[in-house]
Amino acid sequence: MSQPTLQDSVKYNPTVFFKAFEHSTNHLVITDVDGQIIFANKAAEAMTGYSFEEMKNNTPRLWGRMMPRGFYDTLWDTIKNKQKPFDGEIKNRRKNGEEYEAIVHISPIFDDNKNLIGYIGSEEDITQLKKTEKELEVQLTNYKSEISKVQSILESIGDAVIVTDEAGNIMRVNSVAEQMLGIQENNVYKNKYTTIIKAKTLTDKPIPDSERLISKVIETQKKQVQDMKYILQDNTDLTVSTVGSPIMLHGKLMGVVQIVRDVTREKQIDKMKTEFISLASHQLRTPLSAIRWFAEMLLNGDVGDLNTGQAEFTQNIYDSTERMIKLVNALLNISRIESGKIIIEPHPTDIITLAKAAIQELDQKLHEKKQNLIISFHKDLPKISLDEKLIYEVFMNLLTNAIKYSPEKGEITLFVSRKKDIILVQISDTGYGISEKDKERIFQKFFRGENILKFETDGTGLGLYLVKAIIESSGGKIWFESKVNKGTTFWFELPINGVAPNKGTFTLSK
Amino acid sequence: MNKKILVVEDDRVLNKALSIKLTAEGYDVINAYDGKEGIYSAIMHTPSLIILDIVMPEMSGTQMLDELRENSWGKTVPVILLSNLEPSDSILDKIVTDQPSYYLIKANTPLEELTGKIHEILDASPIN
Repeated sequence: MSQPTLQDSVKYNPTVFFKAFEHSTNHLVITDVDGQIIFANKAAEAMTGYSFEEMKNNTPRLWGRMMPRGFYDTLWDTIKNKQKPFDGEIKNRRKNGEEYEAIVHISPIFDDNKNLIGYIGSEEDITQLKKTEKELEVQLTNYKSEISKVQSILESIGDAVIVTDEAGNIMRVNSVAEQMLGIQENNVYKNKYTTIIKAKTLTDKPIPDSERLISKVIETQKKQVQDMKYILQDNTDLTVSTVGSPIMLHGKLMGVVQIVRDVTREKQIDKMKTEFISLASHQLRTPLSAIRWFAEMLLNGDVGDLNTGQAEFTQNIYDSTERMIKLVNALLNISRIESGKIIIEPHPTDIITLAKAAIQELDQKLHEKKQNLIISFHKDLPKISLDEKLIYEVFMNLLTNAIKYSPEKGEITLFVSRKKDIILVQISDTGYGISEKDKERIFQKFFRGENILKFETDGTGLGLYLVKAIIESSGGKIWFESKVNKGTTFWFELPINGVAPNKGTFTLSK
Repeated sequence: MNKKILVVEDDRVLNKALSIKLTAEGYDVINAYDGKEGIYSAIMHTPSLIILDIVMPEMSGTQMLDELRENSWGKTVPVILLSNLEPSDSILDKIVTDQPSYYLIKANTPLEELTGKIHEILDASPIN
């Protein structure tokens, strides 16, 4: 004989229902029409902490009564008067006093004649769920406040901020960006930034999308900087300086943040500065030219011979004027270097020929001070691409300093060597040196070492400043070591693969 | 007969210095004090060489040079632009296209160097 199936058992043996009821993992309680408990299963015992024996002559109020009265009124109205099932969230208390939250379902039970004979109630403990929900809520609040902080930071930045996704589609723009670029966040959301804002170079050549800052950031996943002109949607131009940084998460590009600054005014000031330089050069040089020329004619005897005293004084006037002219020229060079207006025109150059030309020029001075020059040049240096005039100026300045700030019979060395992909130049002297406290200011504009002022009053304090500016704008480095009364060594490096050109406006003035 | 040099320079002191020096060097000097006067004197006197300032009232040196090069005689006369302005790209372009022209900065040029340059130009010049 085969085993009876569960279906058969249910049909012929009602105790199966009872077993199912008793072992259900859901809290189940059956009451009569007045709420008096008739049955409660093991799960109900476990949840409430009361045994069935304790529940038997009670109603579920035993672990209830935690809710406001209105809740129970609605409950009873639903199940008793309306005879409908009730669902709700309820707070109860276990026998040990611990409160718990539960979802409660209560259904009326009817007999075959549809008379109400009792209720079956179930509870599902959601205390843990509620706790998690509360934690999530706190996190959400924190998150929202973080977002609003970020929003306020974004809004309070004085520059335009544009956030795009990793494909360059606009996700967020701040109000400065809206104003500056004449766009509305809603209208440009998820549009390609390079389509919304076109760009051209500062000299009005169109920039293809692939060359745009944002494309470069996406491609390199690195911070990029670019100055350009934006073409706004109303077809007006805006000169901007832009910085773009990748937003990376776990090493993956998530988007790009761009900060855009309107530099129209700065460019205007720059232009004014250039104009000022040109004006100053003209105005200061005109009277200086007159003094120089008349002094020259006097010295030349063009209006008759001078006596010794007159000749000496006139020579003094001439020399001072020449110094003044040199100072004006140095100032002009500085202004031009600082405003990036200096023309850097690199051509393949033999740096040794350049060094030799400087030595030639200074030969007389070396002679006058009976100084000894030791030279050592690398045997086969390639021609490197650099601006002759500028680098010549560097040699001249450093060698002149070495001669000027060394006593008679001093020794000056000039080495040009190669270290892998750099050209290294070393110029040393056995001179007065730079004192410890002057060392950090030696490259500053107008600075002159205190100790050398005793020996040489003639000097502008602009030479090393200019040298550093030239070397750095040529992609090189300069540094030195010095000991007072022992001497000074300057080194500078230039990349062997050459110097980048700069299409400026001016050349250097000698 | 002495060679004629036209000095176009609005600063009277500088104009005087140049005149004295050039006269002492044996040239006949014609003076003009702005570009308009300069172009008039140039066509009137057809000098062998013109020394031309740039920043001047009425007509600037570069404008005068433009007008001069339009003239059939003025096309070939050597011009030394003698200014205290740093030569900008546009001026340098002009020197290349408007030959024969030279550019010197006053403050950086002793008169000896200027006269040396003048001798050099006039000795090489096919006219006169």
